[in-house]
Amino acid sequence: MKRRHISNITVTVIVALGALLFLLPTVLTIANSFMTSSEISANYGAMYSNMTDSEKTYISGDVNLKFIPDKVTLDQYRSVLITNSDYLVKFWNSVWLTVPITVFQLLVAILTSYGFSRYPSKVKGIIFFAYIILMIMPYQVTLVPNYLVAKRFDLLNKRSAIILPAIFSPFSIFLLTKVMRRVPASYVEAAKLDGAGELQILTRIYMPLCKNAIISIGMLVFIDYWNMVEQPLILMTSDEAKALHPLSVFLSQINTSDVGLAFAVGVVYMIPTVLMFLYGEDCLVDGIAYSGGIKG
Amino acid sequence: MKKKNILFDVFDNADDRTLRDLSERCKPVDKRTDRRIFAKIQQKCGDASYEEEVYVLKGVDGNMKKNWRKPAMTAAACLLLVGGVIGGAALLKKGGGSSSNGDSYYTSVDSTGEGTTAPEKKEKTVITAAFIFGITDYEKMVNIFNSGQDDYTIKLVDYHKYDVENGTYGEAAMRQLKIDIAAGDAPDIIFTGDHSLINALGSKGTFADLYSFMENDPEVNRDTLLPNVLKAFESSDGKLYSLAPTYQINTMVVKKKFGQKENWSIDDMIAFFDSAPATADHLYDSVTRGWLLEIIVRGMNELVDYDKAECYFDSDEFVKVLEFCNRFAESQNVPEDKAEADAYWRDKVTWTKLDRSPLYMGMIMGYSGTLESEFSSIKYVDFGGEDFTFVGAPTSDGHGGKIEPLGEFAILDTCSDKNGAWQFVRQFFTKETQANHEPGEAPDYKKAFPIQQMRVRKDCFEEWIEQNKYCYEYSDEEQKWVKTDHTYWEHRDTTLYAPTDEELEDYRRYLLSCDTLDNEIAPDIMSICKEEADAYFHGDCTAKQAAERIQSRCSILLSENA
Amino acid sequence: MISLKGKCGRRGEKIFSYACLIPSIVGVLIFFVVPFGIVVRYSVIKNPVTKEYVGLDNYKALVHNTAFRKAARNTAMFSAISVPLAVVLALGLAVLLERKIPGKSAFRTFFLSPLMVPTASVVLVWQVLFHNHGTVNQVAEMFGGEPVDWLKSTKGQVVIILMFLWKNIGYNMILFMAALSNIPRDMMEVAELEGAGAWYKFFHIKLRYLSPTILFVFILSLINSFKIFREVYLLTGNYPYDKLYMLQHFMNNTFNKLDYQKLSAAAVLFALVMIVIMAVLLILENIFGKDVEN
Repeated sequence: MKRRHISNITVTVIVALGALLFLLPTVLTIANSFMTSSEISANYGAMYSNMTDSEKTYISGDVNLKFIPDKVTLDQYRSVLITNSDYLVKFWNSVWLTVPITVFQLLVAILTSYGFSRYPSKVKGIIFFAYIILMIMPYQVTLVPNYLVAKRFDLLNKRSAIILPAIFSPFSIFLLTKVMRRVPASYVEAAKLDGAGELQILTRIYMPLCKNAIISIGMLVFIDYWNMVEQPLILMTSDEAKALHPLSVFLSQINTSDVGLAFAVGVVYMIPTVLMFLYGEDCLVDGIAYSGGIKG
Repeated sequence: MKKKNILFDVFDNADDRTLRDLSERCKPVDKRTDRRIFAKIQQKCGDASYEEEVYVLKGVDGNMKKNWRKPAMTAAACLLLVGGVIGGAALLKKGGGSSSNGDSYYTSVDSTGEGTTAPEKKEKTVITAAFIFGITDYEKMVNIFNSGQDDYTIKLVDYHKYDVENGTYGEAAMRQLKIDIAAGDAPDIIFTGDHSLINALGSKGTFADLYSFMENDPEVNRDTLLPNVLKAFESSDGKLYSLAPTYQINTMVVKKKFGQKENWSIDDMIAFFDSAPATADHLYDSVTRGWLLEIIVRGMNELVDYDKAECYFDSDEFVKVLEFCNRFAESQNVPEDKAEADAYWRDKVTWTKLDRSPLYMGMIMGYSGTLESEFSSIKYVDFGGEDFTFVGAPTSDGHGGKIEPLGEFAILDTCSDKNGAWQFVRQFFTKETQANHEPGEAPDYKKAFPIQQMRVRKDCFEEWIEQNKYCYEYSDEEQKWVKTDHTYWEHRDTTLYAPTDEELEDYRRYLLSCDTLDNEIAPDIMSICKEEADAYFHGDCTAKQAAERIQSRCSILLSENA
Repeated sequence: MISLKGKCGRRGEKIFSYACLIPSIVGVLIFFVVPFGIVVRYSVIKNPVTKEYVGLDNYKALVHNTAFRKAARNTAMFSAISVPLAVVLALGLAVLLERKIPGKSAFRTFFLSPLMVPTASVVLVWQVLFHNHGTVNQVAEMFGGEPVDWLKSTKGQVVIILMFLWKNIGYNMILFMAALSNIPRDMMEVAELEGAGAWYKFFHIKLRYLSPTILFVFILSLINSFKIFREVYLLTGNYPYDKLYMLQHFMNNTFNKLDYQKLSAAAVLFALVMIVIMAVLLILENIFGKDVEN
């Protein structure tokens, strides 16, 4: 018993260390967002002057990580939220892109996964396998053709150019199908005896049972697309479309412009995802719990 | 919708005949109607302002023309076209400029655009020309070409606006061009300033061989154009994928007394600096190291071999280059104070003369029509009257004098009517376009294609050399510019003499020997070099390490292309 | 009556279940399959401008292309190292966290935090850490070690692997924790009764039950390992150092250079390799999974 106790303590310590290390970058970002921009330049100046696009100049000097700002200030937040409305617009752009994608992808996924999980057949198996392959492709593979397809349908420089392909992404279908396949057949039989039609089976049985899974898949999808960068850069290049760029694109280019605001923008950017996490972490754990294997 | 555009197309490419037709069919309006109509234009089209005989309408919707320019006309009366459509009517104004003078002619056109005034147009083949660096210099030529014949219309596609939007210098435009080519929207002619694009695409058969057109062209062909320039533009398989109508020569110059040979190598250059005279107190700070590195890398074509897709940055040569550049100052020591800064610049121009900084970055621009020869200005103003040698950028193969073209034309292989494209492109190489200016004549901006540099035509080159034999001054008695043998520059307090025949022959020979380009290096490679070199300059690694890193990164870049 | 209804109903339900698939299939066709078809077509033509058919020439050229080989090698090596690591470490952490230690749920949240932070902000922190004059080097110097130029040398891979692990271990761990909690109690009790030791319990029982999850986590991590491109791009730009140059860099750069044949040929090859890997994994799952499914 005592051995167990000691080993528990060592385990706790190890885990705690690991967890703190993991938390480090997040904490840093938040802490630094409270710094004045002069402090940031002082500490990270060497980095930033390194990262301008056209002229990569170099300043050598020590680069320091600072945890606790010398002077706590809300300056950065002020510029981000109040003085410069640009960022809020971009934030809203992000929302306006990511939310439709998430919602519609889930809808399509629910319907499709239901189709896959009931009456499995060889044909469906092949289609499912194809979906898996498609899921693995990195985006560069289909980016140019996506561009051409979007051009054909005259969708370029509109949000739909990004939203439409994203709605049909096989990822959530893959996850959700596996969850749905675990629904015990007995429930379904009972419902059918009660005279339920297919649609009712879907809405009354599958959806409530998979509720957690749906939520957690939704979260994953949201996070994935909240972070998207490449698609807007290729598919939305015109002047008007640029105004619709999401915050993530801006963040990835921030190193070339406003140094001081980098952290505050990052924190603001994190807020939706953090909120979702705090709320849905349990769902996350619970929801994917059943998914094992490929064929599931 | 489309028909409306035809109406504007007429105005856009209006030639004399069309304008005459239109004005004949128009009836004049009285002043009151005129003012009323004009007010309506303003109301319908938003704010209209008058700038230099050009009406620029702001806030105009897509169907309307945004700019109206006074077309280049030989007739005394210029027609100012205000192609605004006011509910189906077109207003032609004839006169000097503002809305209150000159006569107005008002004609009605129904909204389908056919109307009474749209003349018949022969169906012309449309050839698209893509301009990467802006269209303003070429618009006139395009208009002249379009109105001068009935077979082809050149449609200008401006890629420069992508750069303006993005604040880049060429990258955004190039990217858009590539996307368009991939989407099947390739233009027929490309006009670019970046030869690496030609290199990259040329081997894939994207471009037509210009030599094939030259064979049948009596005026623009291998005999009438300078052989060294042609050679510089030739690809490794002997084809000519692109050609520039004008260029300048970039080279380095030092005084003859230092005993350097023409077209030195990097070793020579290092030795030269090592043994600089004691008076050279500004030896290492007349140029910055970043800039010097760029010049040397651009000059050393042998560092990058596009055909074999190899680069040689890890050679000893290049390590020496890096180490050498490190000797130079990081930035120029321009004083903050304005007065002091002025004094600094004034002082700086004397450095080469006084041997305080013995190296001179020479550019032979090829100005014609100046009062004295460029060579004289180098010899007497920059070097205080001492003879000089063209040492060129340091290279290991002796091709130190670099041709820097100002914009090259290339015709794509997918062009359906390459002959038409060639008809347009060759305009820039005719004697008429490339004619030298008369002495004393400032560059004539009213010319369709004002040239301020060296011409590619042989005859123009020889004429220019001939011009360089003399200085010119204005003789009041004869009311024209006459030849003399010296001239005086007041602002530099120097007398310039015309070059002697031997000297001139020597310069001519040198210029004809320059047969490599200096804009072949891809911007990507250049920026990698600068980035790594910077790390070295700041002491973060050794020159050899920097060279190795450049080599590794650039070879990946090149092998991607292979 | 009932059986008749059952029969019609059954067929109707079957048709309905196929019908459910239609919207997704249509969408996938338009936005994935057709583009992929275009990619395949591009991979067998010479030039986006001239569009002549050249058969397998592009593939041959690609396989001989040094940049491609380097990229493929680096990507393969990266995935081969980081994916198993991500799986094993996550599994280890999950086992550790299974015990009754204080603050378990807090720790769980901490491990999940990397998912919340936007890539771009995080890249900055990593850059600072591994910069030539950055934190890690400073710490190393304090202990008398030598500073290493992380990003500009072969050690760059270490940094990337660390970034990948940081980002993905949390989620993998959650999956494992959930799977672990699903192992039927009775099996464990039986094993205890039979006097099985801790290691035996682990290897022979838990692993068997975990194998579907392990496979799943493996696939997810594999997918994510290809997404690492974004971080590397933000760290080092288009042409990173030798070992960091990955397939996606190759694709990205060839895309930027108009070289669609190469890009397409590379994409098709990549797809083929993935198909093979997936097929292998499926077979493996069939072998191992059978035990569990009974």
